Amino acid sequence: MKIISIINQKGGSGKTTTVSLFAKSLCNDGKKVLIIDTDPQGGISSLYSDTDKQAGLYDILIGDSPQKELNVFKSLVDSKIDIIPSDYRLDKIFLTVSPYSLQNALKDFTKNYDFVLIDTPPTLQGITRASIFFSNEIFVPCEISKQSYKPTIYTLESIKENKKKGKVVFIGWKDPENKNGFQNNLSRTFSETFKKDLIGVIPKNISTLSFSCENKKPSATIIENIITPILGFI
Amino acid sequence: MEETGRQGIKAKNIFISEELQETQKLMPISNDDRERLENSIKKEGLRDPVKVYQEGNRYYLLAGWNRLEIFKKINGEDAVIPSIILEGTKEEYKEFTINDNLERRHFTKEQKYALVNYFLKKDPTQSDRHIASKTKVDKNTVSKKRKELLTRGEIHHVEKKDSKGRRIGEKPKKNNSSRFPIDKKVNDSKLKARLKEINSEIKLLSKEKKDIEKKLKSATS
Repeated sequence: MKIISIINQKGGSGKTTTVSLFAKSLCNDGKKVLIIDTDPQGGISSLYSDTDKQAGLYDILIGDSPQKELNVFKSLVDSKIDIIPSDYRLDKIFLTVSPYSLQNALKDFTKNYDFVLIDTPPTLQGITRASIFFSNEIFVPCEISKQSYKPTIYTLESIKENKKKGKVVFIGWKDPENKNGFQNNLSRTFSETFKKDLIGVIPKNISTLSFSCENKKPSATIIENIITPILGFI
Repeated sequence: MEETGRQGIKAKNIFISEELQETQKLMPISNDDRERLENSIKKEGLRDPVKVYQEGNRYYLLAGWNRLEIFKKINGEDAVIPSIILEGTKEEYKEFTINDNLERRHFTKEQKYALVNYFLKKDPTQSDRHIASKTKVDKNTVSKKRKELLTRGEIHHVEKKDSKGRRIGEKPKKNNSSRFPIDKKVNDSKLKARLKEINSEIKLLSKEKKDIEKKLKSATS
């Protein structure tokens, strides 16, 4: 069983989309997947679960046992994907919970899955630290933009401080052309800085986005351009 | 022992730890204190979070049994109670259940004696002074209680030894000539007389000093 966290201190860096793409790719490969939403914004929860359900990770953290149909649900997307959803109630505690909270609460329960995917809020404190402690693999999705440069460096350093290694995934990477210009220079800087941590690239376009959000069977192009490369680096 | 987190926990999901169950009976809360606590929680909510540790997906209470009971009575079993998560060894948890309660309780004499006996039985090598300061009784009381337990055979005699293995805490035998004989009895009257001499000498000298300074001054002017 593999526990994978998706982490970046930069908000909007593509964490939730990456989790969704990972889940669907693994599911397409026949794997049993559990998604844990640790973000009080509940982004992945709104994609995969019925938001009227009022229980989830918060209830497990305040001491309820994890239990199917009570706080762990079958996803709306595929019966092979389960989800522990989150909502605004988590906001009260997500920054101050113990770094051992997730592994204490969920270690036994997660044994039934092939893969556990943890979506995290844009911080490295509290629940994200607990995710790092709990995971055996960490991916850091990163857009090629000036504003995501420093947060991504900080994220990788913090993961290292916790004695784990973050693997960078570039979202929407374009190979720089052999001329100067803002985007080309930026791409070169990113490529240089994250060279040793880079593990893969996920394209950023309408078909990727709709595959991550909508409940559709993957087309041949999706399988070729998204699923196969993702399964390659997970 | 380390504080690893702060969060709310559903009151009914907190179990009383073995450690606390064992030590709490030594430290019952007085009716006055309990009433005061209940009024304060009613009025201002719980100001002081209860303390727990986590094992698997269960939380175990280390401190705040009374607070938890009163909180449940006021807010119901499903209410979320402010908590501090601690992480340590079993031994540290046990120690903590006692120390935390000791700091917040008012004890009667009998309760204090029971605590002294508890500490003595638990670890007779602890010094009287140490136990006395923990339980807020006199050191001689601890020593008395120790003797009682010794005569009843409930604890063993502890031979105190220093780091080099020499016995300590025993009175030295008489005629035991020390390597550095020091006359410990100080002769007060002798010292006082000498002090008087010194003082008068200082007076004389300072007078002489002033005279000389005066003379020098008049000579230069």
